[in-house]
Amino acid sequence: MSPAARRALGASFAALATLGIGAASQAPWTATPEDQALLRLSWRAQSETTEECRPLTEKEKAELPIHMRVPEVCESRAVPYLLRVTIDGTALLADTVHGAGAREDRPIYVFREIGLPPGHHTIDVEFLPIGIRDRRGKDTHRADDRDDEKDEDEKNEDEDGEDDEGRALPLRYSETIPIGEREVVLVAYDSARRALVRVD
Amino acid sequence: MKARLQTLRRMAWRPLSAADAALNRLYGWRFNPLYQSGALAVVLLAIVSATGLYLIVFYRIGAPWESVERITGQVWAGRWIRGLHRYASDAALVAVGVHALRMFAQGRSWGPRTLAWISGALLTGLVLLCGWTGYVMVWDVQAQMLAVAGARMLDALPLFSMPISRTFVGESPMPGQFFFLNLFLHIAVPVGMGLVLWVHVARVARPTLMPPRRVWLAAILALIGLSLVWPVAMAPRADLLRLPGTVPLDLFYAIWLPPVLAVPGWTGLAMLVAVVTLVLSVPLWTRLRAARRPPASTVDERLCTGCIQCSLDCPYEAITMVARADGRAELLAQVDPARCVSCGICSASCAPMGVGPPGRTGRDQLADVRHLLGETPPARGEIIVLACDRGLGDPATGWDPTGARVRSIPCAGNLHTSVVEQWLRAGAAGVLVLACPPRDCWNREGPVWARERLFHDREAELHRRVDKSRVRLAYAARSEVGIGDVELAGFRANLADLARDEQLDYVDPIRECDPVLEAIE
Repeated sequence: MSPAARRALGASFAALATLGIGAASQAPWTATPEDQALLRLSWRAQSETTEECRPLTEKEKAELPIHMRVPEVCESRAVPYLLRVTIDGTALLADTVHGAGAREDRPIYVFREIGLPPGHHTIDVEFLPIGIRDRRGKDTHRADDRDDEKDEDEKNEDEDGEDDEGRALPLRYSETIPIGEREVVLVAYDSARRALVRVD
Repeated sequence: MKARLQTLRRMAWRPLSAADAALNRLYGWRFNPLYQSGALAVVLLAIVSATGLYLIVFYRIGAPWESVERITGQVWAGRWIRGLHRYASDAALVAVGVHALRMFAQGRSWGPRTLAWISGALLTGLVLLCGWTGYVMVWDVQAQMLAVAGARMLDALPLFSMPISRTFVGESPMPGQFFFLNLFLHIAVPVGMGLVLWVHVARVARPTLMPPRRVWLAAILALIGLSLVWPVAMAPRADLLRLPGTVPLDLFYAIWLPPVLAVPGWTGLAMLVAVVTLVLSVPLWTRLRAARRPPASTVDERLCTGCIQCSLDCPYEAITMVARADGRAELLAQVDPARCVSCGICSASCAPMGVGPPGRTGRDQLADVRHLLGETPPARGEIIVLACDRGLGDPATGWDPTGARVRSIPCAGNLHTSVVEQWLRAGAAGVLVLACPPRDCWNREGPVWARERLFHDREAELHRRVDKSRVRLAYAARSEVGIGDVELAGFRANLADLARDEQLDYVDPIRECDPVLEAIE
C-alpha cells in the first residue's frame, strides 16, 4: 500500500470511527410504546397508631418508685395499611403497607406504578388502616371487613376529615377517566382536602 | 471455572491483537490510538473539563432544560462546545474501555498491578457517574429515564425511609435543590477523579499521561469536526406526567438503561452489583497459580555496586537504594516484592549482572547462550533474531523465517547486551532484536531501555568493541509477521552491504605486501 493510500485509508477510518461515536451518542430508542399508559400512586401519610392499656398489678406497683406508680401502662403501635387498587372492576393490587423505620412508626410512603392500556378506565384506590383497636382493645378496622365498617367511619367523620378521636380516616379515590397514550395518571394525597385526588 | 476465565482472557487478546496490527498498518505503531488508550482517556477527560467550564457559566439550576437549549442555540460557541463536551466524554469512555480490555487481555490486572486495576475500575465508575449526572443536568427525556432508573435502583437499598422515586412523580416541579445537588456532584466527582488517577499511576514510574501530539491533536480536531457537522440536538423536555416515547440514548453511558428499566429495581441493582463484583474480582481470577507465578527480582549483594541504574530503570518503582549492612560504602539495591512484576528490566540494567528475577539475570542469560552455542553455534552468515515472546517470539505465531534463527526472549528490556555481544562473537552475521511496539510493551518500558542500551550507551550498554551496524532493533506486534519479514530482509540486505564494503575496504597486509617484498628481494 502506498503512503498516500494508507493516509487516505487512515483518514477514512478515523472519520468513520468519529461518526460512529456521534451515531452511538444519540441513538433513537423507543422507551415506551404508544399503547402504554401508567397509573402512579404517590403520597405520604402519617401512620395510624393504636394504644393498648392495662392496669398495673399490685406487685408491679410495689416495684416502682411512688412517683412512677401510674394506674395503667399503655403501649402504642403503628398500624399497617391496606392499599387496594381496582381497575375496571378487576383488583390489580392489594398490598399491606407499613410505616417506614425499624419500628414502622415513621410516616407511610406510598409509591406504586401500574401499567395500563390507554382508554377510559374506572380507577378505584383504597388506603385503609388494618386492625385499629380503640382504647379498650376492641377492633375498629380489619383488613378483611373494611367495607362493613365504611359507613360507620363516614358517620364518625367530622369536617376536618378526621374521626372523633382525631385519627386520619381511610382514603379512597374512585373515578372514571380517559387516559391518553403514554399518559401518567398521578393519584396523590391532597392535604387541604384530606383526600386522594388526581394531579393534573 | 478459573481456567474458563483465563480462556476468556486469551479470547479477548486475539481480536485486540488483530485490531492493533490493522491500526499499526494505517497509522504506524507510534500513532496507533489503541496503544494510547489510557493517555487518550486522560486528554479527552481534560477536554471535557475545559468545555464544561464554559457550559457551567450558562447553566441555570432553576431552568435546566431551557438553559441548555439556550447554550445549544449559541451558533458560534455553545452549540459546538456542548457537542465537544458530549462527544469527548463518549470518546473518553471508549478509550477507558479499550485500556481496560488491553490490561485484562494481557493479564496485567493482578499481583502488584491490582491497585492499578481496582483504582482504574473506580475511575471508570466515577466517569460513568459523572456521565449520569451530566445527562440528568439537561433534564430532557433521557435525563428523565436516567433519573427514574437510578431512583428505582436506590430504592432497592434498605437505606431510605422515603422512596427516592417519589422525587420524580410529577406532583410538583422538580426542586432546584435536586439540580443543585446534581450539579455539585457533576463538578465534585471529576475533582475526586484526579485523586484516584494519582493512585492509579502511583505504582508506575514515569506514567504516560499524554499521547503523542499528533494523536491528541487528531482526536480533538475529529471531535470538533463532529460537533460542527453533527451537533447534539435538544431532546424533548422531561415531563414526569408523560412516559417518554423516542429517546435519544447515549449508548456509551446509558446502554444499561433499557435492560434495567425492563426489570424490577432490585433486579437492576443486582445486575449492577454483579457487574461491579465481576470487574473488581478480575485480579483474583486472572492471577497465575502460585507455582506458575514468575518470582520477583532478587539482588546479589556481593555484586551490587550501588550504581542505582536498576532503580532508575525499574518501570514499577520496585527498587530502592538502601545503606548496606556489610560495611561497604556503596548503596545496595533492594527489591520490594509487592511491587515487582518480574519484568526483568533490572537484569539488563545491571553491568555486573547482580540483580534480576531468578533464572533471568544477566548471568543466567549468558550461561544459556554459552550452553546453546556449545550445542549449535551459528552458521556462517546466520542472523539471530531475539524476539519478545509476547510478540513474534511466541512459537504460536508460527513465524519461522528462513536463514535466521529465532530465539524467544521474555522482553527486549530483559535482554542483557552481553548476550548480543556473545552471539556476534560466536560468528553470527548479525543480531536482530524484535521487540513489541514501545507503547504496547507488557512491561511498559522494555523496548525503550533496549534501544538506549544497544545504541545510546545507557547502562548496561552494548560494549564499544561490538560492531553496532550488525545489531538492529525493530518493533513488531504479535500479529505482524509481515513486519518481521520486512525487518529481517532489510537487516539482511544491510549486512550484505556491510560484507561487500568490508571486502572492498579490507587490505590483507600479507597478501598485499608479500609480492612487494619478493620483488625487493
